Order: sequence, then structure tokens, then C-alpha cells
Amino acid sequence: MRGRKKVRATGRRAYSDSSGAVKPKHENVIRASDLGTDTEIKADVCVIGTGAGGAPVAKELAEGGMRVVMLEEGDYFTTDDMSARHADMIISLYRELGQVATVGKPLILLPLGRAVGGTTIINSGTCFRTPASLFDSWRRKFGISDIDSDVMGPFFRRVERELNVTQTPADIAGKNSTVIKRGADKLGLSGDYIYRNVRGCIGSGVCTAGCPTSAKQHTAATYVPKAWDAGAITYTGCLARHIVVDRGRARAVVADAGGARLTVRAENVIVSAGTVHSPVLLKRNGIGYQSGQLGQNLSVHPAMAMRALFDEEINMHEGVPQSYYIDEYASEGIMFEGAAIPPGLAAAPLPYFGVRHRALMEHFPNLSQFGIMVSDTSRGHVRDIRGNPLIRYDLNERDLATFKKALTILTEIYWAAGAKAVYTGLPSVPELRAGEMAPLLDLDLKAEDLILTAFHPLGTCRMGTSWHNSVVDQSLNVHGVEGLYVSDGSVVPSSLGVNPQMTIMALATRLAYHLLSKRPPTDEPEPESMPDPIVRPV
Amino acid sequence: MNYDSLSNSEVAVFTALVESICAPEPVYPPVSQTAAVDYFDRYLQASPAINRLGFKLILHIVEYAPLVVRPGRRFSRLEPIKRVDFILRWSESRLRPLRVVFELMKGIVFMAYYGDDSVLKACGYDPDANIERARTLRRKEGRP
Repeated sequence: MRGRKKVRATGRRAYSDSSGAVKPKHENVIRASDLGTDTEIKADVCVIGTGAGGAPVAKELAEGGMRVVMLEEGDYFTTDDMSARHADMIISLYRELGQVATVGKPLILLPLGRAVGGTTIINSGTCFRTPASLFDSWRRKFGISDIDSDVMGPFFRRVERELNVTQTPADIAGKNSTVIKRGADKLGLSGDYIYRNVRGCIGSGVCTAGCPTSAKQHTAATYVPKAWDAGAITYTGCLARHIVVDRGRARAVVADAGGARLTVRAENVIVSAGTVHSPVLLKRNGIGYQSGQLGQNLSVHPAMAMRALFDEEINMHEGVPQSYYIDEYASEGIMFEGAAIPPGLAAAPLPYFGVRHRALMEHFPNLSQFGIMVSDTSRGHVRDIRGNPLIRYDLNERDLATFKKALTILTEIYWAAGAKAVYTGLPSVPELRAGEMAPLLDLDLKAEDLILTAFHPLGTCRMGTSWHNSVVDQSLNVHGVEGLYVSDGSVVPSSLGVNPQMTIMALATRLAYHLLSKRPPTDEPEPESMPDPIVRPV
Repeated sequence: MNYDSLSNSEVAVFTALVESICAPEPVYPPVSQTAAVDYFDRYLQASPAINRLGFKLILHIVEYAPLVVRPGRRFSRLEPIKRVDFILRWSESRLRPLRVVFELMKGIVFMAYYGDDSVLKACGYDPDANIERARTLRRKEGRP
């Protein structure tokens, strides 16, 4: 019937259906080291990076008729390379084997991907749109008025359709989520099963080691092969070093290509090297520094997990690792999300060592783990030290207090769920028994007591209204350089309070439409449902 | 056995660390029957050069610190109970950088040992079965 809006299913059947998986006609991948000699090629667009920021814009531009070259520092891995062993895959897929860390109080590990697909290949596949309330905050605080929920809606719908963003069904979510939901429901806390970019997920439990069933719809399984089918080429093992700017316009990218040099002559260059590396690349080339914001404004969503011991078997390595969230306190900057892991990773964050630790590991089947993510008000920066990033970040008192509150709440959730013991992750209060709260409540928590990880670095090439206050404008164009854009988490001007990959991909898609002078898509189906937590305003 | 990154003495220190930190006993296999040292060697080989140097330095400090802090033997030659005592004092050091280094080293030790296939299976996780299930599904459904 004319005028009826198309609706895209987001329920169980859509989650489990693998039939729409992308199978490229050919893999347009060239290992840069195979070039052997200095090489110069021409393109319409050079995209540096193939993660959440680079791959969507590359695909849209290639399908729009542009000649697209993608440069990727890491290697190309297929599903056949995934071993379901975290210890192995950390060596293959993670930048610096997961050893990237911030300097500050406390030290924070920052796991980043380094492969075709970027961090999307190692993330948990959690999907949230930019919370609608945050656009209002950005308008008030940063003057960003060109984007809001209505403007971004068509791009979110397009990304969600491309990646089949659907809700985790309860029966694949895993027992780890069951026990948390039980506790949350008992306390009347708002939450739901997580929406994820998957086709045919069966809950293999190893998302962060690379999906072995080709279910996770990361960019190397979706946007990149579609870009190839539209004629784009990806060079791997290729480190972009120099952005040639001439007469105020980007003209070329020069990259290290395994001993040789690869020059891509293109009048449109899109930097998608990620929040940590994009500002370093720009700084090294003397670009984007005028506002003083380049490398500044780093937010990371600091996170930690707690564990609990139950009488019942949980077997948290079975099922979707990150399948449930609790957003009751999102407006206070606290998001709880599932963080189940297999034993190879579960050992390290447990307290103790030696015989006492081994006794805990012998109860691995009865252990649960759940995560705390704080929408940080702390801000750090990334400095360029001879082409390498130094990441400085200190947790401020406000975020520290937020962590203390979150630890208390999650402990209460675990007691409500029936846990026998809770392992806080704090060296000073490693274990709580039988409903205990006092040792945690009485703790004078210090930043250095926390053992944190962070998965969502944002903000270091932030978007804004003028070169006085930002690195890129609202079209992601680097101020003062025609044809040069940044498309990755570094443009997001504040902590989001939710996982950022949808925001990054939707902004990337919008950039592509802008470069193609195309109107936003009008025929993308509306999802049956999509979460919209109320997060803390900026 | 020859390793790409580890010297014989570094192997001895790392093995001693794994034995002390993981305390394997049946159900779990002894360190010598796992690929924990192999894994650490691979891990070091793939690490950035400065990080590799850092890890090796930590191993050497661990090995010789018991001679300085409490006169005795090198770490790898201490009796197991004295190794545990040394590690406990390291983990509870008043100096924050030492505690941070301990946590990092502990993390890698646990990953090397508990990432071994035989240990994973003893914990109830079989990666080969996971992969086989995945491959069967991909074949059956024609997934990429």
C-alpha cells in the first residue's frame, strides 16, 4: 500500500537468520609489502583505516561511483583465521597485543583492533544509537546544530539495516545474563537484552577473539567486501605517514608499504585511524592544530568488571558474552553491560594468586562476570612522541565517585540474584560474602585502587562550529584544508554513555552522502524497536 | 629447547613464576605439560621491541631481587614456599609502580597458563569443539 513505512524485523528470527551475509565476488586486498617497489596510484578518495569510521564511508563512496583506495595498517583476516582462543587472537588482532595503555591514575588498558575491520572485529557487537538527549547537550555546549536525531535517523537506519542490528534472544544470551537479569528484576532496575550487529549468531562466546561463525557483522565482513564489489581496493600492512596538502587542499597520502613507499594521489582524503592515531597523524603533518583541540578532549568510557560465585552453574563462556544491559542509572553516567569471558581471560581479573586463586578457578563454571562502564567527565589527551602516541588520562573525583556508586549497585544486584560471594576487582576489598556491603561502603576509594579497561576512546579531533574550538566542522572537514576529513571516534565531541560504533558509522555514512552530494536516504526501513537510554548530559 | 625470544634463564624464571602464581595441581596440568612458556615466547616475539625489553627486564629483576631484598637464592632456585612469599611481598608493595608491574605480569602469566588448551578443557571450555561447531554451521548454511 502506498505510503506504508517499511519495517525491519529486530526479533529472534532476524537475529538467527544468516542468509543475508555478504560474500564478496573477489577480495580486492593487496599486501603492501608485495608491491616491492615505490608505487603511485590515483584515486578519487583515499581512506586511511577500515574500522567503524573508514569502512562505511569507503563502501558508500565506491558504490556512488568513486574510485576508492583504503589503506590499512593491520592485516586481513577471514573467519578461517579465528581460533576461538583469546590468547592466540590477542597476538593477531589486537594492536600491540592489547598492551596499549594510558599513563595516569589509574593505568587503563585500551584494547584496540589492528586489522581490516579495525576494532569492530574484536568488539562485542553492542549497538546503540547516539542517545537523543545527547544531541541537545551538544547543541547547548558546543553549538553543534547540524545534527540531531531527525537528521541522523536515516543514516542510523541505513547502518542498522546493513549490519542487521537485532536484539539478542533470551535463549542465546547465556546464563550469565540470566542471573544478572534476575537480580536486576528483583530490585526493579531497568534493562534489556542488547541489540547487536549479527546474522545467525549462536552464542559461541568468543566475540572479542573474532567470531568463528561469520555471524558478527563487523566492517571486514560487510562494508569492506561491499566496497570491493564496487571497485575499491584495500592495501594492508600499510602505514600512512604523510598527507600532502597543496594550495589548501589535500592532494595525496604517502604510506610506508613494507619497505617501499605507496603514494595515493586523491583529492579527497579521509582519516579514519582511530581516536588514538588520527590526531597523531594530523599533528605529524602540521594539520588541524590551530584550535589547540587536536589530541585533546579524550574520553574513554572507563570500565571494570565484577565477578560473583553462585551455587548454580553459569558456564559464562557459553552464550553471547555481552547480551544484557542495565540502564537504570545511565542518566548518572553508569551503564552496566554483560562481560562474560572464557577461562583464559577470566583468570587474570580474579583476586589472589597461587592455591587460593586456583581454588577459585576450579569453580569457574559457577562464576559470573558483569561490567560497569562510566560515561566519563574526566578528559585526557593524546600526544605525538616522534610519531607514536602517548595517551595521558587521569580519573577525576567525580568519576571516581561514580565508580564507587556503580560498584555498590552491582554488588547489590549480585546479592539480589543469589550470589554466595562477590569479587569486587579492588585489591583492598577483594571479596565480599553473604550479603556484605560494609567493607565496600566504608572504603575510601582512590583512583589507584581501580584496575580499569576502556574500549571507547573518543574526542581527540572533535567536531565543532569553527576552527577556534574544534578540529573538524559539522561535515567532518578538517578546518582550513579542503578535501581532508576525519571519520572515526575522534570527531565525537563528548563521552556518549553508550557503545559508540553506531554513532561512528552513521556519521561516516552521512559524510559519504555529503561527498556524493546525495540527499539522505528516504527508503531505509524503520526497525521494529531500538533502545534509547537516557544518558548523562554533557 | 630453543625459543625465539627467551633465554634459558628467562625460561626458568617464567616457569617458576607460572608455578607460583598458578599453583597447578590435578585437575590442572603442571606447567611443563602446557604450552605456557611457548606462548610467552610467541607473545614476546610479537610485542613491540620496547615492551619486549621491559618484560625481559622484569624477569631479570624478579630473578635477582631475592638476592638483594632478602639474601638467599635466585628466584628460580628458591623453594616453592619462598617463591610464594616473595611474590606476596611484591604484590603488597607500598610502591604503586611495583604493584602495577605485578598486576601486568600476573595477567600475562594467567593468560599463558589458562590459555593453554589442556587447561581450558580442564576448566570446561573446549576451543576445538567451538571451532568444529562453527565450521559445521558455516558449511551447512553456506556462510562465508
